Amino acid sequence: MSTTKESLFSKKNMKLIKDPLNDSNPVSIQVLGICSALAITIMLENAFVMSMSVLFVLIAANVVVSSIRNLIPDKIRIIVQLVIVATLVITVDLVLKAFVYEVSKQLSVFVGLIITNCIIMGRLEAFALANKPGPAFLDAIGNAFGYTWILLVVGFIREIFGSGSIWGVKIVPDSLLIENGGFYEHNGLMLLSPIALFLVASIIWVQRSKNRKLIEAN
Amino acid sequence: MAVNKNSTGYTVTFAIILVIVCGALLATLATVLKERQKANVSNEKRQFILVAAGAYKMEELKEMEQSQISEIFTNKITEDVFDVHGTSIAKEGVTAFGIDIVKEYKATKNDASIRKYPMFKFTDGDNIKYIIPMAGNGLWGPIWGFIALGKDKNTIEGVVFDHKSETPGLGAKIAEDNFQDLFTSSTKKIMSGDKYLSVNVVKGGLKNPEHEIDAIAGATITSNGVGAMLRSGFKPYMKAFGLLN
Repeated sequence: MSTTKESLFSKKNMKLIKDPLNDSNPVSIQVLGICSALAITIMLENAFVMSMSVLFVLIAANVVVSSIRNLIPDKIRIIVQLVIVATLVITVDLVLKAFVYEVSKQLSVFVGLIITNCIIMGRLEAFALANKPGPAFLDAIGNAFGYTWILLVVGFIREIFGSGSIWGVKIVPDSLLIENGGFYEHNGLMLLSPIALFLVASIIWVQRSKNRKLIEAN
Repeated sequence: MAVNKNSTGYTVTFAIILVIVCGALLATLATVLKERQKANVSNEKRQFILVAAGAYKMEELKEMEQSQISEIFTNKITEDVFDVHGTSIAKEGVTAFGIDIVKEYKATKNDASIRKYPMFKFTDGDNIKYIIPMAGNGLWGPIWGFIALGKDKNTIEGVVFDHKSETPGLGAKIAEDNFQDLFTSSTKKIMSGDKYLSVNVVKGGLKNPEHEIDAIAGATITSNGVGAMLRSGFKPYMKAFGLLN
């Protein structure tokens, strides 16, 4: 091993993983990927499977684009990125359909939506095009997990208050419901997309009040 | 050799190579995986029919090998195909299992009179069920279902619904037990005497409990779609069974 070569897990590189989890979170700080955060967080399980698909596509796209970054003509770089992302997404879709048919059925619409996830294009454009595959790989992991934890938090809150369950397992017994003579009712608002905006906004609020340096001066 | 990355020639060449590589990759993958995907779809259809018949639970079937399910299916299910008047049109080349109910529904959307109506009959000793597949429109895409009628060819004894792209947590609930159990937790019938009432999906309380099901809150259009599908779906079969003129 050459001594000048930087270790993949150097402090600088670890920052690539840690930063997106908090200080430069793609959802709460950069406010990217909001559409999917609204659409698929009704159930925790959907949120999780979506996150894992994004993880795969983001890693693969980041590494591929980063490896051919010196070959990509500037004029058509966005289209090139799009073609690569689209190819990966269709690959995921085909493989899921053939090997885990059940999961692919749950994800049906959302797999296609990964193409439009701004986080992926954002990372390709901002990071992969200017960095080596190693750091690009770490950057992808960091950002995908930054996306994942927000989705899981939102999904958790929406599922438990909206459907009274966690990961499809009933937590609030049916006997407590008003229609069965109890006192409790599920919050219908939790099932609708706009609530995810409030929840993401709350996360942003909590995060910034804890981490003052994130607040922009104006 | 220095290549000018910004020249038109390089850009076009790069684009062509990229598209060919990606295209070839996807085409290969799609061809390789096609048989597997087809087998998955057929297998799922068999599972749905057996579950609707009440013979197995979905969880049990998911544990089984595809060949095992296929064998059970061949042993216990017989098929028939009807036209809109309830006359059997099953012959060489027209099998009930071969009819993709959603495609058939779309193809004959404007003229239901030329539609083919497949039926599956489940026989296990004394236990006989008539399983009727049907398709309709949900909010975002097609919905379909398999409804099993009991020996009297009138009482619903099992249902399975599925959908292509209904909203998870809302319309997608038609594929969940909570909704499907409504069809069997109390008696639901298609015919009331010699009147064809079928089963409707309604909001705000049931007025005619034998022929109505509670809609899903927040999923009006999907619920209406299921209602519309059920309202029209049984007619040819009732004619075939001789319960309706």
